[in-house]
Amino acid sequence: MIHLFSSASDNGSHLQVLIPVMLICTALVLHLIYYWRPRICPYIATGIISLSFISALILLVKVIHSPNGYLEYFAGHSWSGQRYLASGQPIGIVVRTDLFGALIAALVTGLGTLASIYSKHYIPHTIKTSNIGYYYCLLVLMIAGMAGICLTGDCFNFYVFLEVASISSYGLVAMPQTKQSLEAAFKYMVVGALGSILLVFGIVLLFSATGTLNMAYAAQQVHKIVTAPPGNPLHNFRHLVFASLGMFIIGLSVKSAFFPAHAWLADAHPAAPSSISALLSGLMVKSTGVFLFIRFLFTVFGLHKHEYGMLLAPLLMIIAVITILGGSVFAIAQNDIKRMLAYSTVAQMGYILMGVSLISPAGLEGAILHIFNHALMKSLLFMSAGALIYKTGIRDIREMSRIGYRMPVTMVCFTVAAMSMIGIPPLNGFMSKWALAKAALDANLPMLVVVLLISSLLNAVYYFRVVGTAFFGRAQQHEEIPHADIIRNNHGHSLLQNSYGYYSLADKDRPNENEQELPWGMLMPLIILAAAILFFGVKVGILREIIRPAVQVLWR
Amino acid sequence: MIARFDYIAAVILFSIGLYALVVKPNLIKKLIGLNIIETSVYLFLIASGDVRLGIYTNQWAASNVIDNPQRAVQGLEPMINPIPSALVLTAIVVSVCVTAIALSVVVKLYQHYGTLDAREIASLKG
Repeated sequence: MIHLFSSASDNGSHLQVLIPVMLICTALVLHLIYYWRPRICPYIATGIISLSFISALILLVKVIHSPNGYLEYFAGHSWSGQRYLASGQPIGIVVRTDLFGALIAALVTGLGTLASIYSKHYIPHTIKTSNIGYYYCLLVLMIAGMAGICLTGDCFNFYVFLEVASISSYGLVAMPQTKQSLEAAFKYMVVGALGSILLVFGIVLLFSATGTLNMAYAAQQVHKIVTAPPGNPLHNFRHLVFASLGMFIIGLSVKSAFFPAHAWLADAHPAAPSSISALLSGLMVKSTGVFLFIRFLFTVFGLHKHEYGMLLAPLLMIIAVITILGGSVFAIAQNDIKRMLAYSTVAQMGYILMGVSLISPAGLEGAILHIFNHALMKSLLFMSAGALIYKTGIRDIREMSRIGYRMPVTMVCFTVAAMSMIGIPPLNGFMSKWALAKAALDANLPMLVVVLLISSLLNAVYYFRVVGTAFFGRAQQHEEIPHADIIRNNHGHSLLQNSYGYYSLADKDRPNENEQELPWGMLMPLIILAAAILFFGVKVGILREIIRPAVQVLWR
Repeated sequence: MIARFDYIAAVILFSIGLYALVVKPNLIKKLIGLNIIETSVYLFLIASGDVRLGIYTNQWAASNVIDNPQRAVQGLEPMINPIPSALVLTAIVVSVCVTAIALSVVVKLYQHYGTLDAREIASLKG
């Protein structure tokens, strides 16, 4: 057995495999534990996710200190112990973690920990009690899938992890079982399945062209095929490579909600429970979308090395600009706070695509920095919006007047994240926007800076609307929200379905207004995230020191 | 061109599935369309490992004689590439999962709305 599986001896760490494996194994027994002891289920989920966070941090440190900038773990080899064929093709599945992957894996597990802490108090008020076991099971599975995507180095392996993450998220979006969440889940599912199947198509074409599923080896083969002169037999394969690249771009654009395919995001993210919205907006569209976008475009297809990169760059740039402006304009039109945040996510995905489309190390650095920063900001925004809904049941921005005085800590955290989103200097959102703007100037494209500025102004319009209403809005008579039907959860709380179709606690079961504004379990993740936003804004150098070598590894 | 009729069949199936997914209002029919699309991709996947498509298969067969590298040099009789078949098995499991969860959501939607018509189930706008 040891012969078959242990390959961590020279350059690799067992943690690369252990992180997804321990999460998946725990997820499988978690809902059984819920039947046995409902109370300890949330603690076990939080414990295992935080354990994986610690492992991911250790892995990140190991990767930073590795000589090549990546770790390779060989899962399986030949009977004689041989790992490579004569041609240099690896035999088994190679789990290859580079700096970029390790950084995003740490981000995924870290935010997952906070979301599961937040869930403990939030979730019993949102879904039926009998479903809580399944909720934690799917939550852990989703994080396992997203972490697995970041750690793997094999095309099909990433597809399996992507489906683990996607299918669990379909279930999580549908879990409140309201009209809205079911409808959103159906749309999300159909579009997501279509995106995944296009990715399989891309993988097949890549496999046909290169004869391998290993990303690093496929990259070498792609380089040989694309640079082969006419007349060389390899030259005939270039069409397969181009078709595969096209499939990957379309499939991953769907998954990361770039412009023509953004509609599912605006439905699915607001309809999910807020803890899940935070993970979907903060991590899901990144790890299954933009992360793989960068991984395939740069590591496998070598966009920076070949001439098709120059052809694709303007196309991606146009999509990015439309996504940025379209997302921001749609966000202004929303009255539902979570829907507004979802459209804001669409706009921010455009920022990241803009950084990628510059095809320069500086642009890629800005894009990765923005992936990291946006994950922190948007998770905080969704979690504090969820806290507002938990405490007051208000989703409509127009009804939020002076809510900041009832829930000061929550709204201050929201304001910090909103200001970071707009790009106020000491906060981390400014740092990544600055990096993107500088990269655009370096690439001699000042128009993109103008787009960034316009988008920041639009951000200011819709975020200050919320902050302004919450702190300085006119006190208004709070009118009773008409509700369609009442269901009762097993805690004995009545859940009202308001005119927007979302459940909230009935007035009599709402926490007393005089008591502490939120349970500590819900406040803690908010405060930690707000502190992280400030910290990574002031000490952006720490991130840059990781991201710069990460980009060098991608750029090789 | 005729020799690659399996690829053409895959493309036709893909178009049929996409048509059903986009045009049909019935949610179940949409799901059937999705499944047809998935089937077409699996057909393509299986076909890409076929014996007759000499070059990939020979390359693979030659390079995959692990324990006896000498045989690889001699060039072997062509064989079916087993990797696509293995991938299809995994992908089928995934599509079964998606179909199952989608059908259960459809059941719940029917309980809420009393219809499967996508035009009537459209409360999310903007």
